[in-house]
Amino acid sequence: MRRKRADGGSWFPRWFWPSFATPATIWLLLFFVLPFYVVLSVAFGSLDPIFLTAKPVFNPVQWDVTAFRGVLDKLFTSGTIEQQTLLRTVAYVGIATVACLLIGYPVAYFIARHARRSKAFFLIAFIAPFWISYMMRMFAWVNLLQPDGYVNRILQFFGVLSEPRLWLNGKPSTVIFGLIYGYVPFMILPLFGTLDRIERSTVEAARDLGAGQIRTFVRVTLPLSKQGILAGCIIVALPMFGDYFTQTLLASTRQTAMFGNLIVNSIETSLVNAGASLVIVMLLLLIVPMLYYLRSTNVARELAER
Amino acid sequence: MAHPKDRRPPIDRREFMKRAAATGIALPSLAAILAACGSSSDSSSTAGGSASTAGLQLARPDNPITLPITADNPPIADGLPPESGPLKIFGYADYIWKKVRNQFGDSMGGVPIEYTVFDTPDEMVSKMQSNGSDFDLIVTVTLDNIGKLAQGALIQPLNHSYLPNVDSNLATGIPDFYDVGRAYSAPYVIYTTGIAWRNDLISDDILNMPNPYDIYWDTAYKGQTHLLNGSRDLLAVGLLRKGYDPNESDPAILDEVKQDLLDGADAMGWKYDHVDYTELGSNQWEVHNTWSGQMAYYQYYLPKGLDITALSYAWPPQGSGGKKGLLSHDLFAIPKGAASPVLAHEMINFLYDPTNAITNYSYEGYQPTVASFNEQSAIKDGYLPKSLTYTIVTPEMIPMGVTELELEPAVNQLYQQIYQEVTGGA
Repeated sequence: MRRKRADGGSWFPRWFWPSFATPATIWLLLFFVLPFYVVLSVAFGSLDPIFLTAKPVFNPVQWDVTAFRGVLDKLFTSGTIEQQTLLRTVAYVGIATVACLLIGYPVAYFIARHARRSKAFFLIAFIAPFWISYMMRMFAWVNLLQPDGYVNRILQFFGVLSEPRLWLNGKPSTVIFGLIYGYVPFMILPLFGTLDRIERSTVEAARDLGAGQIRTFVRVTLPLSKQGILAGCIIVALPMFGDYFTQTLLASTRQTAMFGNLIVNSIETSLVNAGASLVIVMLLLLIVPMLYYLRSTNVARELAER
Repeated sequence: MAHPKDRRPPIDRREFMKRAAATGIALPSLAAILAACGSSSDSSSTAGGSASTAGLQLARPDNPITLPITADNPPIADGLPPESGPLKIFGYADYIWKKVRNQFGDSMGGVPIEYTVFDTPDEMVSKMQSNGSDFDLIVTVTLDNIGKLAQGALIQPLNHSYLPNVDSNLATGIPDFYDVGRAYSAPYVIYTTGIAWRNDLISDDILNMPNPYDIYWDTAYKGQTHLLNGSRDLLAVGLLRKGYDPNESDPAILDEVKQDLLDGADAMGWKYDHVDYTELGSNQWEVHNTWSGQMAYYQYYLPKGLDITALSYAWPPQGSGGKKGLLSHDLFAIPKGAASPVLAHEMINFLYDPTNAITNYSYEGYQPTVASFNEQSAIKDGYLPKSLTYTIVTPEMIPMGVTELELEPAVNQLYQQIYQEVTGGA
């Protein structure tokens, strides 16, 4: 079956364009669907009775929900380490995401609206440090934040601190700082993309109609950059939620442990069924903001098409 | 196909929030539904396994175990020529110095050596189960795992005709109650687990405190106290502080110790890791639970201006308080189905040559279990600072120590649950 393109161009079989999705579909099947099914099989599977290692059960009929049920019970029981860790992670991610937005928006705004010919320079300048691996950058902060590190020295020099602050000894603020530092470029990029696409004439029209700078920003620029804000928040918050490395390097205490730490600790031990169950819970929780983002994107697209 | 405008409109924000809230309410209900659907077995997570554990024998000093050699898992025959390699070693990072590995390869006519790293004993066991035959030599197996690996037929018996150095050079006093006759294993390194501290920052005579383990609970060092990250080592600190055995299985005692550890975790803000030597350079701790073998690394990681004499180490049985302390050794083992078992035997034998053992020690830091090794030679040759002499395990110390041994699987899982509660997964 072949059909002619509406614009009268070349002939293609009906399957031609959809076939372009084949590599991505295969990729998703192999590297998302299949691994996720293994996670399900571990969560609802059993343990080797001697070695206490995971025994995945691939037949859903034989799935045992004991571990998953136990995880859900603990998540909804006050005072459990699971609930404490989940709430702490939500708080850390929420604060860090808002902070990334507050830092990233002005930066993206400046580059998009005022950097003119220097856009590329500023973009590279802001992004270049992040070409270094995340682990190396966090290691660098371990040295900078140590008791006699440069951060304490500078703060003491300017009289902000009278004595060195022990930043690395399990301080939530240090973990949140690490998350902000690690993820802020992922907020800047989508924001810049959105702000850069806003027609200058739209802004100028608002100004011509008598709106001041602040009113123009609040009534025109900010609403038009909503998709960028949402995308940035999603891109930043989702990986933060599963992050465990930042906490391990910058704090590594009971009082600062994140949900990702709980998962890693579980899957490395005989609590592997519970660990896999935590992965499923995390996925279910993260679907909510993801769906909101998709819905919002659809609405915006349909509005734009009207 | 319906026109886009005719399709079901997307849900508005209010509807979305309502549905999200409903999901939040539904999740606890899901737990209840799953409870109804779940199996009728014991609800504790220890009920996950289905096979019997009755055959598992737990070795103890007063209950030595001879691990069985079965017809389907025999040792290799005598007099076989070494394979052409490669020799695939599965071990902790840098647990055998690369130079020594290469020297062995050269001595065998240029055999290539491949070294794959694991981080924890649990990871090692897991990989041994899935693809153990991919490796020829494990460096190392801890005492609490050797019985399981042998009885699960994941490792093969050793043929001691290839190990003359082991039989002639093994240090005296090293027990073999976990594998009588060393049918499946050979000791590699020996060490104590004790308390390292910065004596330039802490004036307490920790070794001679009535209970040296109290130092981990001393709030004067809040935020500056690190413990080892592993369920056995963390629980051992709590158990030994209270005067219990580090292999305790009584749930009531374990619960008592858990509360003690939770109090400590909250009051002290403990950090959990086993990289005390790398943290030394950035002054991250004042007190650290550690292994004596790590102490030899310290001299290479000192921060600017700090001398090695500022580091002290206490192994509680040597103090006036008379508390018990951990002392253990790690083992070599050869996986069942290894492609180069003769080379693996030869490598073990090579490392029992006194010269090779001390060369390896000069980099690796953990004390080899060869009879000729002693602290005088280690200091004289410049491998160990004189101030760290007390990190050496002497034959007289061996009977004073207690060892982390294999636990019943359910007890082992309880240890790991307590560990997670205390550390929060950190």
